[in-house]
Amino acid sequence: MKNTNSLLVLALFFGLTFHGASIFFTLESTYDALIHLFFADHYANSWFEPWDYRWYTGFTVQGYPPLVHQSIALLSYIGGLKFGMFTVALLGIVLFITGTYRFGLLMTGNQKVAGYTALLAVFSTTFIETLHIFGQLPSIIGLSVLLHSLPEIYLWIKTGRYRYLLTSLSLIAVTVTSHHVTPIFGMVFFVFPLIGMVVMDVSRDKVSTNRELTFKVFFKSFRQLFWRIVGFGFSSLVLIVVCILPYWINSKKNPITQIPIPHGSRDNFLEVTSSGLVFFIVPWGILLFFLPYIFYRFYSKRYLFFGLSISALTILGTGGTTPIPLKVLGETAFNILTLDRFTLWATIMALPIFGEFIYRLAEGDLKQQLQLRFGAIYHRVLSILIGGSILLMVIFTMSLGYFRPSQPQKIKMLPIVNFLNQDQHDQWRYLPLGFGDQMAWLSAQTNAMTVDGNYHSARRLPELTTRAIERLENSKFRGVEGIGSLQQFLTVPEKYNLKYIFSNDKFYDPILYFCGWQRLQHLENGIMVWEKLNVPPVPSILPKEDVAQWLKLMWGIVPILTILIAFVINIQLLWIRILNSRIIRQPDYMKYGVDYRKFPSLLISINHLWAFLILLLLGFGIYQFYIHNTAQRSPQNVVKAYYNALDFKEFETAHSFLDVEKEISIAQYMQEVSVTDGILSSYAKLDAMEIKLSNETDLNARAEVATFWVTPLERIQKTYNNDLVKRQGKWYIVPSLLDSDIPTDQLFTSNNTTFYNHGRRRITTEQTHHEDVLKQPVLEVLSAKLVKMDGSYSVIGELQNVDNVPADVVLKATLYNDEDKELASYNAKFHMKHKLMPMETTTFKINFEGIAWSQTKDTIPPTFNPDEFTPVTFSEQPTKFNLQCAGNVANTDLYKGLVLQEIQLLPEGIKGQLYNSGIQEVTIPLLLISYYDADKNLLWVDHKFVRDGVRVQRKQSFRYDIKELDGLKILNSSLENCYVNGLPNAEIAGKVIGERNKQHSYDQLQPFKGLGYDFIKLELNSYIGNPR
Amino acid sequence: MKWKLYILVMLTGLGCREKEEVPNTNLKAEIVAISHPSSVGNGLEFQFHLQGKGNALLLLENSFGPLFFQPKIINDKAMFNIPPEFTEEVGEFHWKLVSNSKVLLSDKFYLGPRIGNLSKIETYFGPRSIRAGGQDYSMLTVIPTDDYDNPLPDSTLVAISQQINSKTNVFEVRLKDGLAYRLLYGEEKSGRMLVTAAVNGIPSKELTSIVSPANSTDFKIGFERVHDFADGNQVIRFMTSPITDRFGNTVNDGTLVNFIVKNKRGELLKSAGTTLAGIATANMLHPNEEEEWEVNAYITGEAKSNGLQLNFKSAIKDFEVKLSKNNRKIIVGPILGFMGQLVPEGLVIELKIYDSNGDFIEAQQTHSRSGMGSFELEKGFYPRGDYQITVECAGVKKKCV
Repeated sequence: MKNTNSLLVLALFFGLTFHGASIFFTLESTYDALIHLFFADHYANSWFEPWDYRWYTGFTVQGYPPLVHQSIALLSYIGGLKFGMFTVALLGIVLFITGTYRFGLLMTGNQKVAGYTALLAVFSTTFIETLHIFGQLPSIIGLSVLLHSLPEIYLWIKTGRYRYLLTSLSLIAVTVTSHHVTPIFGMVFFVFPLIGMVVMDVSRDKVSTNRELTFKVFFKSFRQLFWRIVGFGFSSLVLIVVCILPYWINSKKNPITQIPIPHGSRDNFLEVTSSGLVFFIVPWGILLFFLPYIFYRFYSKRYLFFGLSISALTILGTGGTTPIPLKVLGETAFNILTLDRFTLWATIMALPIFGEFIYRLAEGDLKQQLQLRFGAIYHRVLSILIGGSILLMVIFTMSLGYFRPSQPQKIKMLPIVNFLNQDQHDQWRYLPLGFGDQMAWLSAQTNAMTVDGNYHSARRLPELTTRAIERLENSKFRGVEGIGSLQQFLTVPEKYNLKYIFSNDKFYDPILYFCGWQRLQHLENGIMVWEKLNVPPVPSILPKEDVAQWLKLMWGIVPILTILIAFVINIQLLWIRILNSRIIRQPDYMKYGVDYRKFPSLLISINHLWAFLILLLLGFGIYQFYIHNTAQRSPQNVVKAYYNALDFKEFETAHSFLDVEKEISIAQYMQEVSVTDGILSSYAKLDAMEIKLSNETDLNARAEVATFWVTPLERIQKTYNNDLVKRQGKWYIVPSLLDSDIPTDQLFTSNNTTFYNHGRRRITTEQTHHEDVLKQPVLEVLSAKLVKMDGSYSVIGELQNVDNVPADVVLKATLYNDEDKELASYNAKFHMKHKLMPMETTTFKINFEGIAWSQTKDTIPPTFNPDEFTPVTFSEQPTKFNLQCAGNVANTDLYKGLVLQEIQLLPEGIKGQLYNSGIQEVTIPLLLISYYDADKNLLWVDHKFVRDGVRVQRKQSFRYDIKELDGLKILNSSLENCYVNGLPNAEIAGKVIGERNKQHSYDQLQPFKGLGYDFIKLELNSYIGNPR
Repeated sequence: MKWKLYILVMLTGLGCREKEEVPNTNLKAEIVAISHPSSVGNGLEFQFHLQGKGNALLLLENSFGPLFFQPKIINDKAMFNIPPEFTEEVGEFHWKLVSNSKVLLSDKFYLGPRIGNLSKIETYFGPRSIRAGGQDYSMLTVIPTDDYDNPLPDSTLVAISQQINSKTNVFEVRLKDGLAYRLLYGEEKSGRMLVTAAVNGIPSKELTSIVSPANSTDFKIGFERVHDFADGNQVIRFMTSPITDRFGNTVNDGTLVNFIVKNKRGELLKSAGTTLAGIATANMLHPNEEEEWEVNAYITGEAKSNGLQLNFKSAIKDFEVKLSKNNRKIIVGPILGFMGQLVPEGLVIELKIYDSNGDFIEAQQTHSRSGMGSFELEKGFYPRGDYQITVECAGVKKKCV
């Protein structure tokens, strides 16, 4: 071993320059890196205390092996957290390259081949993806150390020297403490085949030719080595258990009883091609072309067990494409594990064989064969093609994160951190929205707590664990479950002491507004801070699940100890080896190298055929993509493309699909687009589209397009009718004309009272300076009842702000049974106006929402409806209710400019027009429709979000389908248990408006007879997206 | 029998204990002098004459807790100097001269607050806003303290001043249990009440309560419009008379007034405005067709306006409907307004198409542009044949075949 392997040096050199330089641009925007950073921050602050209050109302970090986190934490004492992270990443790169080198050496016994393996490892797409896109540092370190341990394990079993047992076990311990899944599955997929190979090698020594190597010989060798294998297996099992014992105890105590979170690696790759790309095509990359060679080599006698292993890994890595992984792993494991790791291991396992192939192509027998069969030029062209493809795949993989960013733009955290530190804002919980994985980086920088978190196995609140959502923060990507969960948190924030929301995505703004939140300020990094009034601060004593002292000590000491021991044992031995001038015996595995003499020519043909097949498949895929996505080939395509373009706000593309003969200029089109606002055009994501064609001729067609949009509030269906024409072989959409209504004047004026509330008049850190506390506005509950409609219970009623200042109103209703046992409690969501001007009234409805699907277990509906509502299941009949109203002085969102300009009462519903008489653009108008009986008593409250916004001084039409109230039952109608700001409503009612004229309310009701009611009332609430 | 004896012996043994060591002191003490200040914050001095052997300690108990002091012994005199830091709390002080747990002498005295050294007056005033009319009140609570934060004795005189509507009322209240309070009523006029309190000439800070107007009373409404044509384009403005409460105070800015419009079909339209200097204004667009409006405004539960009758005349008289040469385009217009002008942009024109048997096929809508509107019947959708069409605009209907 005197001659240093120049290829390894080259690989290390390339690896460190290439990966080492690019991690600074990629690592922070990966999925996982910042999570590990947060964990590291935890250890840096409290090394021995596993409980962290900052996520999920408290969770234990003993849910993830700590070595990598603790290493980052240790390094952070030198140069900060990020220094620690990058240093560990660099170490990971070095460990990985050297690890593959040693693995290659072990497998092939050829230094050259091992060198090629290391070089290819640097540029392997699977490694690039794992590091630069997924950021799975513990996984990389764990795997690399496992690769390092393989030669030691081999030597222990082969030679039986205890030195090797010691080194291999020390490395296994490091693997265990850095990543728990790696050693467990590593045992199965790497170590078992390795043991098989050792036994095979020992057997081979006993016979003279491969052919004589029969099962009998093999079995004899196995019996001979049995105790070494058992010894190793048993002691590594002990290590796996002992090194991260607190982890196992924690898993036992808090088993993962959560609804599985969908992961792309479990998809059917043929159906969800994007998952197929990320979890199959990219990690395999160029290796796909050489599968015949790889499998041919792996199924040779020596590698037989590796062959079985890699086949299993390959199949498991295909996720839901075939039913095999589900059957092999079982329902639970299939849904907990991310299957991409199998592909990762398969591709890493294939590296030595690929290295061997490249070696043979570059300077071995394959080169000779090819030159002999096809000529020197062909060999050269082929080599260039392969080299080029490797480079292409590298560039493609690196660019994945650039072209399809998985994360929002990098957010400057300092303003948020400062905000949380100011004025005791960290006394409440906060929630980031639209931060991506950067939320972990924010959490790492502050002591403030959030209800959310980024390590989903540690989720604790039932609102989170019963739904397949990773984080609330990105809930829009999780459809109904996501938005549903988020709505629960937003509606009842008091429960979690949640007061501040940092919104980096205006998608969530409407739901925040309609749940009663208000905008506080724009931070200088562009993040909007929303706040909710009437939320108590986090109590100073919080619950915590404590663990025994010895477990804490173990968790803090053992992992770092393993790395120290491994370092001392392995590096020391290495130094002794290097410094000892004595020539060291070559390791045993070096004996079993194959001398690459005759490359089977049949294999060349087969591999050519295979590569050709792959190319064909690729071509077919691209062709299919083209057919389905060429916009103007068919009427369906043009409609699909048009609405997709609108969805992605690619207006120029959308414009190109409009009928050319209508001559709408792009400028005009953009102008028209720029003035439309509303929930559909600004806050919706196209979810599905059904196109029905009628009147189809060669040149014309009419399309009825039923579009389904997911908005933060509810799932909206809107049907568009489009006329289509074909001109010069291309289909176009006939543009519909825009409302040409123009307001009377250019300039409008408006006079309004505006309000301002000093946060603190005196700059003091005193918690509440009593002189600065405003009196709570007085509210009066005019009516309240408990009703049952279609099987679910609601508390409805009417409320008035009878004070002289505007009020922000929070309503909370609790249901009781006859024995005064509390059954459920919930807040009013968007069935009320949360901000009331003096003397303004609002009807309200409080639905009692349970935690979705907790009963029906896994039957999550496949459709997508954020408004999906799971009523609480009551074990007993609620008969009474308690209503708590809290008013706080409001000074924002007091726009009352919306006018009901026109209505038409039709048997099936109401058609009408809204007119915006003020000078703020109403982005989402909300209609609250209340129903009354013949005696003008309130019966029911319903809502309707109008799809389009109402521009300043313009009209917008709406349509509302009337309800039938035959299923309605009033259970309790009493103001007895209604409280305003903690005082009985009855007391207030007499005090402020002693002689209330009830006729006023009656006069404002619209006579409208329907099934179960005689009058209705329409109230308007307006969300303003961009207040001026 | 033996057992019983044993048990008896055992019990006796258990019942026995070592003889209690009675403090062996023969110390005798006599008071020589005790300083008796009447208020807190002064040092105390105790002098005793001691006879005999033993240690003497002074135990001083007050609200601060029990304290032991070591004497300074000069000959047979024991002197206890208690620094002023230990006498800052008002209340009864019990002292005991103790020697080996035996109380030799004991007595008590009372220290009052330092009335001459008032440092601050704590005041609390709330609610910070009340309603006009003389029924509603805020309460001022005064807690005067001396410089050691001791409350003053009962019956101390507190002068409370209330400034309201440019006049100042002074009330005298006596302290009870450390605090004094008074309910301060507002008057009929809205405005602001400023209050302060003073004890022994020491003033407190100024506190405010806002007297806001009482419930509003019925009011009148009026309107402003450019013309009385139903052009669906001009804005009509409703406004209230200045709204006051029954004492003539203008209602608070921001009070919401609902304007309910009942049209001739009995449909209720709704606009709203908030008051500014008592006047609320609300806007609506003119209707699209001939209308009769009845307008009422409400401050729900409190006040109502008079009813207002409004009429709108049709803004257009007539318009033409033409067909293009190939009968594929329907041209509506020019639509003329009340002065014979082209109607403003955006007037809704509705086209209904029926087949030759009079069965409804489709309705199309467009908006007027430069007083014109047009519809196109595409070949693909309307093959050759006879159709009936009706065009409706601003309540005027036209039929064509």
